[in-house]
Amino acid sequence: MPPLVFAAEIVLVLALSAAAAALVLGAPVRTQRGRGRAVARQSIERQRDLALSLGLALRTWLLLRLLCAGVGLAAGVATSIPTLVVGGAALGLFGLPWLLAGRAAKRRMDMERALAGTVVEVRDLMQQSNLSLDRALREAARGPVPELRDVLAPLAGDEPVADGLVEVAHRARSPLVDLVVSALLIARTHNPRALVMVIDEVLWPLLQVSVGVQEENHATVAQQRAAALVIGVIMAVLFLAVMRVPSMQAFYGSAAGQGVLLAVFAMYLGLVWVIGQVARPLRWARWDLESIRRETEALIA
Amino acid sequence: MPDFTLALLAALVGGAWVVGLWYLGLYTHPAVLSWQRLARLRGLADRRPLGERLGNRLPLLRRVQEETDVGRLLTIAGRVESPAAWLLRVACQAGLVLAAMLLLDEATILTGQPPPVPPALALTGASCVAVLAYVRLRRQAVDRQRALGSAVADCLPHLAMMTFHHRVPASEALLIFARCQRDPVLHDLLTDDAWRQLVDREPDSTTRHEPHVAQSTAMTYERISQAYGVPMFTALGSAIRRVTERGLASQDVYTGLARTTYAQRLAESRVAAAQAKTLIVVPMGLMIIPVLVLIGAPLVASLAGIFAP
Repeated sequence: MPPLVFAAEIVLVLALSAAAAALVLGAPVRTQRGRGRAVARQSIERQRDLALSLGLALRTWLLLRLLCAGVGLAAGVATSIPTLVVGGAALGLFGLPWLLAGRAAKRRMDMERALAGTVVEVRDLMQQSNLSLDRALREAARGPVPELRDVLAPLAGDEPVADGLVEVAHRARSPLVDLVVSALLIARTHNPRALVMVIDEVLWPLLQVSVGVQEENHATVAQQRAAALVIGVIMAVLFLAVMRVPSMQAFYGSAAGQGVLLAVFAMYLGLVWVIGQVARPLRWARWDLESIRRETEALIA
Repeated sequence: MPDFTLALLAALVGGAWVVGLWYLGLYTHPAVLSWQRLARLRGLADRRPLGERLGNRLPLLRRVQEETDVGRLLTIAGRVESPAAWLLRVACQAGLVLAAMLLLDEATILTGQPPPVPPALALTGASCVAVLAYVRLRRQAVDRQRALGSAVADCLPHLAMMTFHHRVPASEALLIFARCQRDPVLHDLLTDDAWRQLVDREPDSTTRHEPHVAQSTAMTYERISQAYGVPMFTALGSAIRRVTERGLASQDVYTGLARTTYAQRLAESRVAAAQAKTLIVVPMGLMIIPVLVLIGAPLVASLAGIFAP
């Protein structure tokens, strides 16, 4: 028996023994199916967030992405280079969210900035006009700014205020809105007067500053995203020019050329990913508003 | 040249014998031995392992111990497996990589080619798998610490409102809010008893042998903070102490803490945003490389073809 095979067999036996011992000691066995399902759920939630931030339905957004993937695929097929066929489809599929992420972020920021104004309006209605919290919320929802018209619509109707608040958070799909709505739900059932102090000292400054920080991040990333896009376009134009020369076309048709194209794709996408990582958004806890409503109402029942 | 092997072996055995006798206390004075026995019986002796005792004297050693304590990292990361199970699983993964690389070498040799990966490199690859597993575990632990801090901080404004009339204790309110967060990390920590094991292992904990029923909520949170490395729990613990022991208004205390915490978080974000403006220039500058490769690769290939023998 060759020595390397003998060594590999010994190592394999030891590795399998270690695996068996780990299982006996209670190492968890996670199935790929369960993990895949969790990743798929997160991905769909992200797509839903993005679609709603753009004012589109999830189905429309997914169709749009598929359409872009088709266009990318067709463009790749036209070059008859296998790497470009796959790369074009991938670019169409994943490039669209990257291109529109800035627009979605801007819409969300506009909504959060408008929310800061609404929170102050509710506070004023409670403090100066002596309205109850429910009444103040209804009043504020009846004349909303355009950015919040769709989000606050459930509060302007006749449905119960608690249900309306949960629906507001569901429509907004923003952690900051979740934070404000959860505070409002607790204040409704426990202590509306405390809400005035929390709005003055915590929520309003928080909304103001966090929107300011996010705007700063957004401006930086939007600028660099535009620059990355320009470089991408320059690369595409250069590639088209290069492909008009027969010798270069022959090179990119060869295995070595495919490897170079893959490396270029990987470098470009890697750098785009790094740009996205440099300016990270502020992270907030996500709330299950339906649970908050249930729990707070159960406490006073 | 004489062979020193047997002499070295004899010296080694002799040395081990002397160390063994020292360990058994044969060279210790009987009075000291009696005192040590008494101290052990009365619970006055320090029974911690040598490494832990040394760690108390040398902060750097303690830091290294904390960083490499797989059991602690597993508990902080919220993983249910024991350190031994984790080590065996990582050993299995590293072994599989090593075996695969060795078999690949052998298969290549059988086709008459030189081995693509030298066996030493295969060992390095297997070590890399183990190192990556540790890095992943550490990242999970750090992520969970951050998530716990954020989860507690985001409960503070709500805590201020809910505890205003003192109808709901702060610990109960925190548990309710933990249940209402989409990320169950805080709820898992508060309802699971895993944190008690970690707290009991902390050497600095002055009350670690006291029964848990005797501890106040503030002390419990402070001990969780110490064991898990989440400063937000210390802040919450001292806020609860100010409310329960000094009688300050809960709304003022929790609102003030929320204001301070958010101000700190926003200040950190402002710094990060300012740094991002500079940092982002690096990947933008590197964007020139794919452009150069795209144009230059065919030229280099054709030049290589011309000058090839």
